[in-house]
Amino acid sequence: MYTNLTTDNYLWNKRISRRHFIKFCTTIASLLALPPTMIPRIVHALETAPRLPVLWLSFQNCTGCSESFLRAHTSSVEELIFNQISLDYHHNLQAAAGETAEQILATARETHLGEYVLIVEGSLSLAHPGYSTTAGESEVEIFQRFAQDAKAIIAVGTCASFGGIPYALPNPTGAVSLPELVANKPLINVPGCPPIPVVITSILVHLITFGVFPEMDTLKRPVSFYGETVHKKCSRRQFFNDGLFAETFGDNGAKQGWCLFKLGCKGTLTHNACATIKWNESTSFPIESGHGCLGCAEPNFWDNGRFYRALTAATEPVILPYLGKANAINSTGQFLATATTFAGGIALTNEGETQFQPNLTLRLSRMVAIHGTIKVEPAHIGQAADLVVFAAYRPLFAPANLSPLYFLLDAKDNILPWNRENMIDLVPFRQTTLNAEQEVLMYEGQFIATGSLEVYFGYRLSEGTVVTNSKAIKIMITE
Amino acid sequence: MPLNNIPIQIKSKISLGTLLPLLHEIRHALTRLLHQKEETAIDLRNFPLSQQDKQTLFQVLGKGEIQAELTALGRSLIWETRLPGLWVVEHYNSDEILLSQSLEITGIPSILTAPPEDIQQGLEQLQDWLKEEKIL
Repeated sequence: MYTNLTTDNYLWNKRISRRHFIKFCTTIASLLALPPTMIPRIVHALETAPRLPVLWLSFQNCTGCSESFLRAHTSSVEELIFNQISLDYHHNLQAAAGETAEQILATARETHLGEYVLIVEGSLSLAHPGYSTTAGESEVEIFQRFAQDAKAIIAVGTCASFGGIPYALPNPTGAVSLPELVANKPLINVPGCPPIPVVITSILVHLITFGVFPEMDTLKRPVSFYGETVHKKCSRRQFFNDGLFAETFGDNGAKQGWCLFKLGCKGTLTHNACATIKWNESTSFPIESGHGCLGCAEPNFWDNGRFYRALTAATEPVILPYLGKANAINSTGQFLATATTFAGGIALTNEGETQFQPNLTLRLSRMVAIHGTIKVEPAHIGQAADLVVFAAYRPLFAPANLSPLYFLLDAKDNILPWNRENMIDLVPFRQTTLNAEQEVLMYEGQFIATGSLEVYFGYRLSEGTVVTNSKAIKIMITE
Repeated sequence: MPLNNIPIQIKSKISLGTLLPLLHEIRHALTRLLHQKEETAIDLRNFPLSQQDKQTLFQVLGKGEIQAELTALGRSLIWETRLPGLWVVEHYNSDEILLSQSLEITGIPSILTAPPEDIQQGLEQLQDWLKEEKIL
């Protein structure tokens, strides 16, 4: 409605006093760490500049970033920014749907070619474009179409900035972050899961005032918000300095507000403004509320070590359970003697456990890792071989006489059915030249069905001999 | 006689640790204001001050003769400290959440002076009203 009005007109129409407006500008200048001498310039720019057209696209994300931004605006200074920008398109906020929505988007783009700011939430599926499409168009295609005519691009949230959770191992959609796709446009990252909403507001004000993004660090984050670690201004910092640490959640130290470093807090490595701007209308932030920082504003936060292990804790050696001597079968089906031995097991990774076990019962929702090592007999070392992984599967409550179904893992980690009649049919999982100790990282992630699994792995030499573990890794998956 | 009735109060010594650099900055700024008429604003957000540090700071600075309240986009509290020329400016939003907190070293904080645009607007409103009432 006010798209073509300058802010000055708008303020006049709305009868907002200048003190009101100066207060907003003062707050933003403070957040951006701009010297107070810049306030008049911000005031002037916001008064005279036409409203900034903004298109907000969502890809692989949970919409938490939008949620964060919108929750904040209802009761704080952000209410004013909605008068400075013209949010022409937002997947989740518009009443329109289908072709009407697409038409609005196309019109907004064509009307403001080269002028609009593109805000993107979520990472993009590059390797498997079919996983996420809108009207038959892949995410990457949509993004590139809008990015090429944008004035500037804001990557909102950790998924857009660094890939985030979709990018975490095993990255099933082949997700990439925005900086991996943008080479020739001004781009700024606003990481955080979700990011602090006022950061987005401040960046927009800076863009309106100075025509460029604020100063950025090497990861393209605005220095004024991400220049320092959470630790530096943490309200528990004094306890860190004094060497007072909570040892477990709920212990006496935790109750007295001591430092959470030993409980896995990543505040010392995480660059963000949580400790100063805080959350939930400046009520608190995670560390103040009793939970360590997860480091959500940093790249690879989901895969970067464990949430509840101290950064300084020594890495425990991973010991794989011994699975005994190998079975070796040649291409004609005869058993051969072999000195090769196997070790391997399954571990739950949700809580960062690295205790691998040969037998485990777990729920379907749990994240697991299945790893193995093969001590290859001297005669086979240095030979070219296919590593193979297969499993016998039985549904839960299957009758005892039901023979299991066999599955194998192929080179792209796809699970394929296998009839087990011929070892030659085994599709290679990886191809390698055998080392004395051969590591096989079989699987990381969740299971897709309940039931029991017996996992086998090993290698197939070029002359056809297959060497596998004789004792399977046994897994029971329940609801 | 119980101890409480002894009319002597023991004052604990204020620890100025992290506040000392800030107090020196204020000292320099007041000197510049006095001799060069140069104004300074110090954004307290940029100092790693704990809640305790802030309490101590405001205890040291005290309250002077002027306290003002502005109502625009929520409240703003402005007061002169016991050091004339040193003001505390706090902006809150409509939910009483602190948005910014700064020290201003100036004769009077600019947010307190009426902006010409608002004077103009007010004047026009007065003129319109006088015309409606057929006084002008």
